[in-house]
Amino acid sequence: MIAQLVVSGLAMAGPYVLFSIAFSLVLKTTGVWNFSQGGVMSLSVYAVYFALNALGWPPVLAVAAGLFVAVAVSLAIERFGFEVLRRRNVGSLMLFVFSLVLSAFASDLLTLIFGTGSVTIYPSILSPVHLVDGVAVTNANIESAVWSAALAAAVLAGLKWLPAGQALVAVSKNRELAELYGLSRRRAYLTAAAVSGVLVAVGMYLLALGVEVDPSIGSDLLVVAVAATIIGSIGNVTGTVIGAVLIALLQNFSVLVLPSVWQTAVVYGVLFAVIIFLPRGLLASAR
Amino acid sequence: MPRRAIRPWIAGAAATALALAPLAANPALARGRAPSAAKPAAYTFGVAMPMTGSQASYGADQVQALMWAVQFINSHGGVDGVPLKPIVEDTQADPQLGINDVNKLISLYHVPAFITAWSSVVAAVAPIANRHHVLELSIGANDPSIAHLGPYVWTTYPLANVDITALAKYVYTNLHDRTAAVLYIDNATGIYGAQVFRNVFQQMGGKVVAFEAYPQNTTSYTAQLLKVKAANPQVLHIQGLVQDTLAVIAQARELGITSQITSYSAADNPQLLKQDGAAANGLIVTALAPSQGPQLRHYLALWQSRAHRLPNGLPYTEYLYDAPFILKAQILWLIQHHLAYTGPNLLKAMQANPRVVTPLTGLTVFNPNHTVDKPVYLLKAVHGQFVQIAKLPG
Repeated sequence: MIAQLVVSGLAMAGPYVLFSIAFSLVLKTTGVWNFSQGGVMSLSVYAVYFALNALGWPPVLAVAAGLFVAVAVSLAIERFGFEVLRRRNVGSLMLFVFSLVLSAFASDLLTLIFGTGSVTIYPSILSPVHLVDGVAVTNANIESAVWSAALAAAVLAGLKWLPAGQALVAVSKNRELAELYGLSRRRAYLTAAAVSGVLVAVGMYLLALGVEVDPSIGSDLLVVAVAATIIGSIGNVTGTVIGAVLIALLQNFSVLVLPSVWQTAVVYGVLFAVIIFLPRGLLASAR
Repeated sequence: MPRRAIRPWIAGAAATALALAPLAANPALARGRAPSAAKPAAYTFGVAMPMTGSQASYGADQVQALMWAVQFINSHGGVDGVPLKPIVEDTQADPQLGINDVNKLISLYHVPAFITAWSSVVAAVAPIANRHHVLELSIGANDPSIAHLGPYVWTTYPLANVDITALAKYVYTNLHDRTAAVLYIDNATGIYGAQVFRNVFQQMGGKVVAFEAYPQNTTSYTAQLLKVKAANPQVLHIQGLVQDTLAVIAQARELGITSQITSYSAADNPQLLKQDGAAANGLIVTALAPSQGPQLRHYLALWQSRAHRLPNGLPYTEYLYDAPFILKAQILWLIQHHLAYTGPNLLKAMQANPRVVTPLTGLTVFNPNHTVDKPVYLLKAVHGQFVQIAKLPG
């Protein structure tokens, strides 16, 4: 049972990791608690659904459509939303409220277009199963773990070694100083938005392989990303990854020792404890 | 009572009432007797249902069914020549919005009766119905507490204990299963239904080897299902909402759980069979209205011809279709007893006239505690379609 819980926990952690990196990256770079990502998540998965089911596109093109929508909307929100508000010297609280409104708007828009019912991107959510030493591993589990790990590693490596990633880190550490060195703050914000779009689009696709989605799913899942960001320590992308994996494993393993009705409460309990006893997160010293 | 039988009597009553018009101010009349023979322009009643929001796919179809029933009644002479007039308000299945809607229906439109659904809304608006002496017909909500919400709250839909009790007995007696696991969503719908299944199955002599909850809005049920798998039950009963039941079944089969799976009426959904594919084969669910039979042929054809599909939650829509016929029967009773169309008089009618024949769900008999019992239909998923395997007494 332990091995199965590890496999399922890691598969579940895949999309959580991508959502958490996306949220943490934007927060780290721009300082905005960007809840509009919940709306972007819903929009991207519905773009995949529409491309597959209404347009009859092949899966590769449908995923590309989801990526395009997520990146385009993320960039548009940054360029025509946050940037305009910053120019007007709007405070961070109002930016946060603006992002909440956008998320709700995206959810309502999808409800108007697709209705309130749940949908699956493929006709069946069943995935072929492989038994490995008695542990059931589905194709969806493998795809989720492999793609999430690869993408997370690519983003972390990009932040360290690519010039654009280094610029992003520099801006996040000291915006004014970075600009003195000729690094564009605006470009860094747009880069963070685009990368977050890619991450949430892939995460939503992997998640939707095994469950139904509805217009508000993005907002529901964003809570996990926020919790992972806080647990892992705000501003620490690597810590966020660890936070996301921890949450997924905690949700799975908690039922071994506690009644299953406590599954959600356990996560919030840990979050509560981290906020009280380690307000800068588990990996604060690693920042 | 048939319309033809009433008509001569009504004509006589009309003449008498006209002659005695000055007595309209009589206090006795004011207490509920029909004040004059002048027929109302319409018998207005309220409908407070979710037309938008997460439950709209069900709510809108239920209201559609009701509107077709009203259309049918009105095109066949209405209620003694007077049309029924429903006023629809959108609750979004939200209790607070439901309260606003019902207040509006009562204070603005002066309805003496209204129809509503969703357990939380039914409970939230019950005090208003009781305070204003307006008949509340709950149709589709199944929380057992509805039986205790006050004198003006009546349900035309069997409460949760009816179908789940029948299912648990069937599993023990007919399928000869002796061990069961129960997996349920951690909300009012899941908790109560799961408890009913567990208690009845245990009372029958069975053993519940796992009793696990999962939170709302979760996407993975693996941990709970692994506990179920370790307990190796003969039957796995799932008490969830349609979207999570779909995923639970898929994940259960992926994990190699081969037990018989059962669920209740929420899983009676063709989409679930389509999306779960082979995993849903053998699934047994309950339904509180027939899904086949001659009485349904016209109704289903109506959906196909006008909406080009079957309704979401077919049994629920059948009860909504029947609702205006129940109201019509009670208004005819009022006419027969010279009583005005008011909430208190409708209450008298419900108490004095508890047996109503309805077109789709058959005979409706109201119990003294304002509930109804109906037959329970068991459906089995066979190659992507639900097939009726049993009809059990409610």
